[in-house]
Amino acid sequence: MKNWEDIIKDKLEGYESPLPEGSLAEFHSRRDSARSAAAKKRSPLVWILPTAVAAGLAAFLFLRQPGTPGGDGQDSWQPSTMIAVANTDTTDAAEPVQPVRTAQPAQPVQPVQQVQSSQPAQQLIAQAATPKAAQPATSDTQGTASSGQTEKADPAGQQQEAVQAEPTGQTETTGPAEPANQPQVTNQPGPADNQDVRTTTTFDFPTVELQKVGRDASYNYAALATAGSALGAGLLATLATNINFGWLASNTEPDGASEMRYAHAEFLKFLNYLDLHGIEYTPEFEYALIALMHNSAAISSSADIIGFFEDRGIDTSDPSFAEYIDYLASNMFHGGSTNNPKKDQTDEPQVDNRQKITHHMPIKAALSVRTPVAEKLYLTTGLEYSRYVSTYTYSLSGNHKQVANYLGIPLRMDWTFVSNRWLDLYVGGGVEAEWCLGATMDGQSIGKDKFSMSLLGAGGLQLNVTKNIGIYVEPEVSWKMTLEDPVLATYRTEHPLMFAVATGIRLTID
Amino acid sequence: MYKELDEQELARYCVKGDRLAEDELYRRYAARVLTLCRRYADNTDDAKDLMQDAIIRALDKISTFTYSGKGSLYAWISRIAINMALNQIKRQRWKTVSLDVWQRDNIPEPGEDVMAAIPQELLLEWISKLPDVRKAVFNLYCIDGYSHKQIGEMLGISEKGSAGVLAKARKQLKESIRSYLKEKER
Repeated sequence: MKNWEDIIKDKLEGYESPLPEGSLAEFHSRRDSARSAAAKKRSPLVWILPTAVAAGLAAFLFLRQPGTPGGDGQDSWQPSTMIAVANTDTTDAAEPVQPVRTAQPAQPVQPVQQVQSSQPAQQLIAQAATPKAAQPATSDTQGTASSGQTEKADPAGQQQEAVQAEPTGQTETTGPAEPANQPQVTNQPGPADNQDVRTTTTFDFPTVELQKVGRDASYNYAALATAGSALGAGLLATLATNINFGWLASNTEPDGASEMRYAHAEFLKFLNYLDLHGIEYTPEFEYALIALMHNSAAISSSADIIGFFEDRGIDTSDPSFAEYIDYLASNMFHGGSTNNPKKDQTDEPQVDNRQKITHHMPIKAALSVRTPVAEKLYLTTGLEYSRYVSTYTYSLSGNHKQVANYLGIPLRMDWTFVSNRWLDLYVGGGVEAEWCLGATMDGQSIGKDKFSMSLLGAGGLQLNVTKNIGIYVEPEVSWKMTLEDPVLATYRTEHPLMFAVATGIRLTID
Repeated sequence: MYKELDEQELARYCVKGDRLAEDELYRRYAARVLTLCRRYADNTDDAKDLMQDAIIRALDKISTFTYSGKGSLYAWISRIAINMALNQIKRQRWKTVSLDVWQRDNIPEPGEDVMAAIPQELLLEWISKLPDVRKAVFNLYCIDGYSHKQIGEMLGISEKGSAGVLAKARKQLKESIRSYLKEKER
């Protein structure tokens, strides 16, 4: 007895379906078309070009590495004394610091270097914010900014000396000198120095003007670029998301970072003073203080300082505040921190004010649309939302959380090399335009970052829910092109070359 | 003249580009290839297109054909058609997604006499209405004689998966047969 399936097989195997009328003519027509099409073979450029573009983008992104100041998004606790230690020998190609507008209602802040406008680009930074006893400036210290050094023996002083006796490569720096004083420049590049620099450079307070990042260092990742060329930018991005790129950061001094470190050091020093004297301060005061330090060239008296704070709603009526104003005045009007550390002496106890900055990996979500332009080639665009969170932590003032939101429109050409019912795998490259929707610091708006554009390389995996709708996960590498100086310090500014994983819903329009 | 050529000679003439030989090849095998394509395609129009493309592809590659006995030319053409059908199935976002919950197959198998009474057109229609995976597995295993291992390699599924899909295809076809018989009894 035959199986029913075998019966089906027997019935259908020899069965000749009736051919439709004109099928032979249609066969002739198709045959002729096929013959003429065979004569015009598709140019291999159709396949080579997108692959070459993706490979070239991968090579470009990896070979063209802007020097990033050390920040790898990793947390790092740095003693305040370390902040002022710098290797400034790579500031030869100093670029003029561009003032960055902030959302603060303050006057436009001026770059720190205006304080030392007569100073050459290479400067030593005062060992500011070194734990030391804060006391009103005396005549001995007038004209000099406290550099964090003291001759009087105290535990903090010992600590300070210990800092000064740091391993080779560390450069003792002094703060900006009076116009008449020339800074001492000690260039001692070295691994330890570079290491310190690298780990201390990501300290920008969010509303402080950002110095333009230098591009002194570049790394030759020929092997990585070769692999990327072979696999395409998208596959490499998939691998790269699992690699810690902290060691890619520049180990040389970016332009202007020394000024930033001074500004930050001064800021911490002032906070020290406030804490030691029990002066309460609010986040608004901190913002105003930063703005003041960057605008100090426009201030020439205590009254100016008072007016500066009052313009920003800071109450200066507290008697202890007046004492602080004097302290500020003596430190700022007379050149701020001195370039001669030994001039800057104080009996105040040293306060260890550590700072920690963490730029968290961004989160991206998107709604994407793609349409085929050729077999296996798709043009992809859509809307991509990005959220950048940074945490600024000071041991004296606590945590500050910055959140910046961006909306981007990518435009990308994707090559789908695997496609089936459930899954699409693809690689692609393109560009993205991004607009900042807004940023907050501890819930308070601090304005918006500027428009930016990025080069994109991506690889992706799409789960096909239906014929036209899919959910995708897309590791991507992007390089943020510097069109304008950024306003905010985020993971983006620290990592112009950035890896991220985007996910979203994609609509395929056939 | 071409009607009297055996498969080997016909293939030889086709290699030379003889249009009349190609027409003869079409006349000989198009109907059977169309039957095969109807088993794999979703509808008649797709099956016709697949048939035409398969024969044209076969003629393009006729120089690679090696005669191995009677029926080898049709077997060679049918393998080309099957490969094209499977590629099409894999490329498409399969239009039908089976949502039925698997239940134990308790449907009795139809007997020979029942099967003998079912016309081929109806069988082709039922088979073409199967979901893509089930249709492919059923055709490959039951009619075209491939093993589950081979089917797994062709479709990118496991052997066990192929067997499971085949069971579902069988159950669905038996349900179609049973429904047909019930309708016929009324």
